Amino acid sequence: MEDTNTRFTALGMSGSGKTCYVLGMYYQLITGLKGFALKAERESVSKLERWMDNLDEESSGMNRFPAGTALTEISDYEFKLKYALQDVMTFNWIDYGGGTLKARENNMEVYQTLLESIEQSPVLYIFIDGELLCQDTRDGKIKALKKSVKTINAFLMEYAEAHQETMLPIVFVITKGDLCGDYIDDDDIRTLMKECFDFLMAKGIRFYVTMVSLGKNIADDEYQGEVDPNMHIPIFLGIYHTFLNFCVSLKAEIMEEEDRSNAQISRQQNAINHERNKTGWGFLDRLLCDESNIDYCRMQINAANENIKSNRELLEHYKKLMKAVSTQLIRDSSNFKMFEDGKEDDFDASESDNL
Amino acid sequence: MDLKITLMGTLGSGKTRFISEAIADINSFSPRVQAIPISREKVKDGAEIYNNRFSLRAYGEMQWGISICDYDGSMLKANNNDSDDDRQMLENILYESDLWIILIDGEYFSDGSEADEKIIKRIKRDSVKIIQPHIVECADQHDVPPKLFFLVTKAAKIIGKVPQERVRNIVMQAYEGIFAEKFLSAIIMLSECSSTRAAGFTILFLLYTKCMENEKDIYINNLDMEREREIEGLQNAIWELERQHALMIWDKQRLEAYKERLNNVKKEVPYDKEQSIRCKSKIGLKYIGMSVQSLIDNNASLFINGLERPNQNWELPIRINKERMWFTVLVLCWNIFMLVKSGGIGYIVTAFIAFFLTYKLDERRSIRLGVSLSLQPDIPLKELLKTHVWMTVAFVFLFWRATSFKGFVWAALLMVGAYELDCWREKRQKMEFERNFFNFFYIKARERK
Repeated sequence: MEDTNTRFTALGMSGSGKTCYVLGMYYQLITGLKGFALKAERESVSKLERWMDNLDEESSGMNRFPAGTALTEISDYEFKLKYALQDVMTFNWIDYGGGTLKARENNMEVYQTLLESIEQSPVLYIFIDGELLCQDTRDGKIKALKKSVKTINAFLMEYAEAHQETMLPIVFVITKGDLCGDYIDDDDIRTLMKECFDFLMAKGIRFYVTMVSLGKNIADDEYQGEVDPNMHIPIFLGIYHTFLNFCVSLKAEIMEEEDRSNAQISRQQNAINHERNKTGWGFLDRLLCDESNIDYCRMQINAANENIKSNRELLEHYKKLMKAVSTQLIRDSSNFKMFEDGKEDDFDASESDNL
Repeated sequence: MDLKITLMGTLGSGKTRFISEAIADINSFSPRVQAIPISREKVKDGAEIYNNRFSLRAYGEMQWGISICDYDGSMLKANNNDSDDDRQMLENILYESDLWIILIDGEYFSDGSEADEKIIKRIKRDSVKIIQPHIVECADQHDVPPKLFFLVTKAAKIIGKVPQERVRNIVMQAYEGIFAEKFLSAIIMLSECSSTRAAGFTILFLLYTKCMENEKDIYINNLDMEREREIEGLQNAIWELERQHALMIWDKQRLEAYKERLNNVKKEVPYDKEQSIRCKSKIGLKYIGMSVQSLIDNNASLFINGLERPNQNWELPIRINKERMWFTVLVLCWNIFMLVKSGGIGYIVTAFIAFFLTYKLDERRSIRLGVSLSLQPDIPLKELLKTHVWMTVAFVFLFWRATSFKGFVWAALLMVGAYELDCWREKRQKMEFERNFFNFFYIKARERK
């Protein structure tokens, strides 16, 4: 059975906003969102808190943001998403210098870790620098994006090849949404996806596109604007898919176990009946009946019933959490686009309804 | 039962002041409830963490130990300059607490003219960002999340300007990461503190709530065990009968009766209201409840909002029992009748004043006359009847013979003796009586003056 620990990997070039995303997501979810809260492991908390404090220092301008990640640096963050203080999922997120994607040979160790991380990820994130899309013409945007995603596409194709049977979802995150928001509209996004990631417009592939920012006005007055991150959607999409898989496999396992328990109950019931009706003669049956056997059978029946009950409770618990995640995504569905089998579709979380 | 309380607040939120005010507040609420300071000691040399301990006595009977941790608010941040050991120690103390009081500075609300969204952002940025990770961490370390109590301090400016419902919504939205559907309960209190009321009230309120929950748990556990045993017994009896092939008519009847009983037992609601009243009748706890209720009744600006919390039934343990009240009226009528027969109109007026004082002030002051014994819900009716017979006799003697000093002493001795005989098993009631008795003399002396 799958467990509630997972790993997500982001692919993005230098300056695409991977580190800021970790910070923004933490900033937003540490203060809570509709019952959801994020917990970081002890080792990363003080670093993230320092970054948050810097980010709050509006007068620092551009220096508020964390410095770019060095080529040899790699950080593995562990987060736990909670809903109403109950565990939903634990996930790891690695942050690395975007240059690693290009300088493979010069930075083998980090590169290898990155590849392993991609391999383990049930959802892949592609970070697109929103600043590149601040162009007046659509062609300009396409050209800029194509140029930027050349390296990433190589990874993506590899990823698609490795997961040919069941292609895992991909989430495109357009960062610096506060800057590029005015330059791109829905049609632009459709065109950009078609032009730059054409190979994903195929049957069996689902991907999402969403825009994030650290605050609508953060770039005002030389980056002295207010922090108000809106960065939860990408991580919720990843959680949605991973947690859904977990719930589906848990349900199948529970159903299987329930069948086994039911068979056990009926076997024990038959054994009790047999014990009581050995001859069909009341007087003789009473003489021959071994009470200890019957007690043992009853114990087995009770244990099987208990097992069924606790399994159902467990499933209900996870269903509730799944419902919370999908409800949040439905609430936010106007802020992201979903493409499936090559065409745009509405997100309705219908898979989770069948649990 | 000891109560460990954690104050969660950033630097300057008023934790130290809260603690120093709590004791003074409690002692000012009611003579029946006393807070006695025990110690304030540094948990570790060099670390700004203090453990404040005081004991709480209700009517000299029950006693609770209360400890509140006080610390430098900046230690809540992971990236401060304190050593890891100190922070770890603080976290251990905080996470082991029974209840958390989260202090929210009323100044975040300014005068209420700003949009909710702006206020929420400010609270989130300055307070939630630091406090909520600890709530989440605590819930992560212990399977059950901590009990939370939100206290909006320095609320003088916002009371009357910002509706209480709005304050509640803002607090809930600021802490939206922990509020969701029915998973968690929390209480928000808006207080006019910086006046002295909020701190002591909060402690009493929390203690009372905690005690009630403990009592309920114990009761439910006992009840469940009893029910479990009965179900098992009935189940066995039914199996025993069903095992037999040829059942006699009386066996069949027995089987039916067992089955019916089994169904009824299974259907029984686990929490029986009447039984819960019995749990609440502990006298010390009752006085705490009375103080809390009285504070709520007499302080309109205290706003308590039990969000999704199972409704605390304040009324049962601390309000006057109606049946007993009518019984009192009957006894009073009988007293008056006897007085009319034996004395003059002045005595009737005195009796009415006594009754009035008993009825009106019973819950708030310790002025109680003998008649008020019938207002005690935890004394059995039979005991009351006996008491009232003696009391009636004693009253008649008292009013009849009180004109001379000798007669007065005799009547008083008779009254005390009667009561001693009647209530020698109930020490609490004896103390109650003694206090009321001397109060009565006090009133009598004032009247004579």
